[in-house]
Amino acid sequence: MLLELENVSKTFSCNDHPVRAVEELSLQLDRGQFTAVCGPSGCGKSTLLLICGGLLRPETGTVTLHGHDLLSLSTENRASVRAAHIGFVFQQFHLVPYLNVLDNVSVASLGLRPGSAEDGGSVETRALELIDRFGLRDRIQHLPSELSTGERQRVALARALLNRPKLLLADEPVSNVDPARAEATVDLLCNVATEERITLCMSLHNLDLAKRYFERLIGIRRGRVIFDLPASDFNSEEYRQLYELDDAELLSDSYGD
Amino acid sequence: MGLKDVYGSGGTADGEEGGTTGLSVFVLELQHNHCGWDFKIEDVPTPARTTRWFQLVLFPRPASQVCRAITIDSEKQLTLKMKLSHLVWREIAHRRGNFCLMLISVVLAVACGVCAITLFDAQHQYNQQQIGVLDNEIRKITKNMGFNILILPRDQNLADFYADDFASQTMPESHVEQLAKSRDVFTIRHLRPALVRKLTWHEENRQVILMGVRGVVPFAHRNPKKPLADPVPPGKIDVGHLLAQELAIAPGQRVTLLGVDFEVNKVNPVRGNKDDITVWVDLAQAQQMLHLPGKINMIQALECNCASVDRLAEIEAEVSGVLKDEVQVIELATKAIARAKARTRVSAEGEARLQRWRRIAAAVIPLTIFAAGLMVGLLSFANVRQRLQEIGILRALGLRSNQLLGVLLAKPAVVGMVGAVLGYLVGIGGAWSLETVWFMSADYQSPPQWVFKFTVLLVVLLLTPLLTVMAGWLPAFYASGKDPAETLNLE
Repeated sequence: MLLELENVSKTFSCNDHPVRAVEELSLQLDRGQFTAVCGPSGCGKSTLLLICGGLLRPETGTVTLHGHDLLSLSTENRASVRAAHIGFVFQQFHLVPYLNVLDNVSVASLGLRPGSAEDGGSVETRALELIDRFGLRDRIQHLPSELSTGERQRVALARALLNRPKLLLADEPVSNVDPARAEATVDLLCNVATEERITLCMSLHNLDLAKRYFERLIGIRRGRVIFDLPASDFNSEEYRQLYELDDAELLSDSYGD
Repeated sequence: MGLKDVYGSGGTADGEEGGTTGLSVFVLELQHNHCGWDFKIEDVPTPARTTRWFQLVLFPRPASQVCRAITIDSEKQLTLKMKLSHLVWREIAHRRGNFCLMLISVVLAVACGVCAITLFDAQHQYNQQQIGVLDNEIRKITKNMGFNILILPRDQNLADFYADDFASQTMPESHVEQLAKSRDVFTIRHLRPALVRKLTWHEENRQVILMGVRGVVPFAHRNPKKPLADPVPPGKIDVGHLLAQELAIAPGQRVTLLGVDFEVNKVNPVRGNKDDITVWVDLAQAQQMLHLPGKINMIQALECNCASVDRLAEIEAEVSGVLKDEVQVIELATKAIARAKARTRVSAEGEARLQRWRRIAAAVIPLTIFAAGLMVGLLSFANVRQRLQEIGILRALGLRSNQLLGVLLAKPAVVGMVGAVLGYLVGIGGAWSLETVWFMSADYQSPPQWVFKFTVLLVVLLLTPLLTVMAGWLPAFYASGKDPAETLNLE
């Protein structure tokens, strides 16, 4: 097992009104497993991924990654663990605006402790290899502002893979691109993750993609897991449970994303 | 086998702790797969500094050592190509406007400070030069002159004295001895008692000034000094130049004055003052001729030297201390005093100018430094606000807070260093330009003063980056400690 969340809860305050984004959620991710996290907007998917990645501290519960209790680590040590073991792809990609594609991919190596990373030549080799694989070779000197949304998304993916993470967390990385490009990207990402034995956990809305590329599907609604099953067992009943809106959700779309 | 051959398999080892580098992963794989072999890693020299190649040498190993732990020599620790400085330079190049604004504010502040200090130093140097020149001239002019003072009887009306050119009142000749014997008189170098009267030389039918003198009275407790004036021997007479010329008197000639017969001792050279109509005789003879035995009406105190500015008061205090208010003291040689006063005034004026500059500099320098610090602080804060998302990204990627602090403070440090150099050059140039106008003006008519102080340069180069880093510290500290989820607005 690579990651374990136990009874994790996280509440945000919205206009002095507490909003429960994740509620007593427990989860285990096995090494090399591909997991898709699905659910309607605001159900708590992003919050869950941020907690998994040690970017957000829950009020209760424990998060254990590769034997490290993330919540007991200092901020600095958590950052080091994140740099060494976790790749994160944000929904908005969050590229550094003044770095070109090569530098934006290579910048991930800065968080590694001295001596724990590959040598200068290999960082560049690795970055170039990923840039090639994600079809960005001719955009290598371009700034993020000069790239399309799809290209920015691929740069973010390459950056997340640079340090050969054990766990790759991707928060709706394909929600901003067309279906064909989304499938191509997921396909490529899954190929790389398979080759490098990376554990992949991705939130996405496209259940068809999720069923085809992921072994395990987790459905989240109102911060709680409503199903956790092999992708092959997913059917219309689960889909209905997940996306059927009740009156309260129709009136307020202020859950934890 | 070269390490380049195994890069592709890096990261595939399972279960290793922190082994994410191609090298360490490869080593662990080797441990499992080639247990009967030992190995060593050697550098292979390459011309490029950024890339290091290694050679793996395998050789058989004794069975007892097969399972020993494998560590990589610390010398083999590998460096990253991507450097934090790369982020700093890229950010500066990307946000040139912000950098330029920070730089301009620092350059202006440093230039103002350096300009004010340089002008201040130039003014000081000019003053010192002027005082030096004046001092030299005065020393030449007043060489061996000192202050000449007249000691008159206390009851002498000074108005009458100035009108008649001699004192009508008298005082005992013993006053001179009292002064000469006193150990409390330091400022007077020579004492010369005299009895002076303006009278009619009946024999020649001329108005003359009769001066009875006895030469210089030596101070009892001091080493004898070369007398300033020779005494007139009894029975002899010295005659002023104009008088001698008009009366056709020559040395060796005999003349009669007030019924007393004298031999002309000498005719004095032209002095251009009342001395030219004066006759000098021995004091005792003069007292006898004027029926004033043991009396004098003035003592010339010559070559007085005092330490303080108010020299006259100092001399008067010394004399009064000995003669107990029986005399009064007036100046004799006013030119010397005038020159000394002029010198004092030049010095005081220079000091006043420096004082004005000190006040201006005291107001301008801290103000400009404060303004620049505030400007850099505000710009740093604006810059950090602008970079919050980027800071969040770097934090999420695992950069530690001290790394981020370094990235954020590097910019103010660069601004400080570049600003210090440019500001110093602008400040020196500005000061030189102002001096050219200022010192060449009618007030000065002097070439500009070239002032270079290494201390100022050193202080500017060290202090400016320190101040800019201090100004940028707070926003950088605020940003580097923030939670990435907060800065990326992910909640």
